[in-house]
Amino acid sequence: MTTVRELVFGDHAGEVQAAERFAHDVSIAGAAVSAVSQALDFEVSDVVVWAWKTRSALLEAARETHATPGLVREVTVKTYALPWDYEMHLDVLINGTRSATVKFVLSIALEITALAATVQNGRLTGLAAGRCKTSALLQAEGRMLAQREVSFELPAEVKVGDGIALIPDAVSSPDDQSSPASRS
Amino acid sequence: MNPLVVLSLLAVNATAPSAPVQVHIHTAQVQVAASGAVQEFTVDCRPGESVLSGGFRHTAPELRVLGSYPSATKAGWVVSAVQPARAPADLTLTVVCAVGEIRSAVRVATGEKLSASTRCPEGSVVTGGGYSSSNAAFVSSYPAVGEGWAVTAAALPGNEVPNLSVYAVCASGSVRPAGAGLETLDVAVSSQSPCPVTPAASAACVFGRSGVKEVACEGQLVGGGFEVAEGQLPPFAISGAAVARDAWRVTVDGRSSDNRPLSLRVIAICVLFPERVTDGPPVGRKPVSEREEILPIIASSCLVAALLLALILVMSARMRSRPRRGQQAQVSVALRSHHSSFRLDEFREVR
Repeated sequence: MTTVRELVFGDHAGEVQAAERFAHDVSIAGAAVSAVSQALDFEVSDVVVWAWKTRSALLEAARETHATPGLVREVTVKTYALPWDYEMHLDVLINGTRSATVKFVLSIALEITALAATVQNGRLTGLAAGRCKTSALLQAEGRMLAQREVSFELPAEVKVGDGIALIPDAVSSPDDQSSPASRS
Repeated sequence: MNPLVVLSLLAVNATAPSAPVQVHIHTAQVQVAASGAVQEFTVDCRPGESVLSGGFRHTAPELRVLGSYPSATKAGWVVSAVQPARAPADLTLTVVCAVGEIRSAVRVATGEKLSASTRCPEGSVVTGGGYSSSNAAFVSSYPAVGEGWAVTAAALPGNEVPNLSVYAVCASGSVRPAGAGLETLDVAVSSQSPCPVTPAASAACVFGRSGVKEVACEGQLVGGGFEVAEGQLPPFAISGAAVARDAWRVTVDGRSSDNRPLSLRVIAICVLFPERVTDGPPVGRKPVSEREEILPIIASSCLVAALLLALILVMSARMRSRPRRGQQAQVSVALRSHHSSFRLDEFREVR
């Protein structure tokens, strides 16, 4: 499973590079990038599912199948794209006193192709196929810190389990409700 | 690390100051008519001068300053205000200008959120900044890390979608950042109206909140900002934020139903105006004999400079490798807020 942190920075060297691009002061740059890195410790698949919950053919199928118990919808989508922006405001504290606030913006472009999924009772219950190309761009106050692109197979990345609720009415566990931003 | 240096994180270190640039402060006294309408006033720099920052001050309790920002069309500072009271209000505008090997440009960003920031281009130095809005009250306006300017505002009742502009004055040429001065202004409860006894009705209390802080910094003072550190600033309570003598002065004078602790960080911005390394006259312009006289002097000066540089490098390398004995500033970073959104206008799906 790929985290957004891995998507953005790759490995630790990527974080170091981002810190160097951010500021010359090693202690502040390192602390800031480390805090951002921690905030991005959630899975890319969460963002994908959240995108589907926001607008998609899967969402329509979820509403339809929830309204008609027993109905199973096989959904195929040739291409799907929905960019996501995540804005973080970090306080820089010197000896416990806030000295400045820095804005970090992460933009993730999701491009999904050849998606084949099953939806029933308002839940995503199967993922037979689908490939996702994600590209991430992290900026601080307009300055580019990191930029990476990763592709993965959706059936391997998105763990469907007992089904993922795509609409609030189909929620059966607290995990179903969370979004990437509320978890971080 | 000295906390005062935080604001010039991305900047290069400055060299010793000299005076190729001169800073002048101009003020203008205006009267805001008691019309209830937004009025704009401008104080201009002199011809040939570049604007570095500006501000305002007043003592009228009802006056609402909606904007204090650099003019986008000429070198000057604009203050927009409304006087809802029956009597006109006196308002003093201040602009800090510079003449010499320096030029400035104004960066503006506009949004519909309660916070906004803008950044100066690489190679330039932020010397000041400001804000404007017709439907929000500003609570913070300060230099942000990364050489830019940031503002935050509080929504006014009935204005769910604020319009907000942030301005940064970016100077380039013979100017270098010299860090900033930073001090906390604790805004005291200065008065209290008669309050009902029951806690449930405590919102009926009105507390006067006031305070003033002057902050200086090392180098040439050019501007400053303010940022709420704790508590809630009453709307339009900033009654002064401008350069006064050799300090950046912020004055708070407002009324609120809140008597909880309130403090502001007051930030002064200083710069240095190092002498530019000028190109020598083209070889051949002076007679050969004169060049021959100068060459040994230049060569020996270069040698001395190179030796000094090598000595400094060796010393600084030793200092870095040695564990520090004195107290070191503790740097930490905390996530203050975050939000995310999908760009629905770029949504694409083909079934």
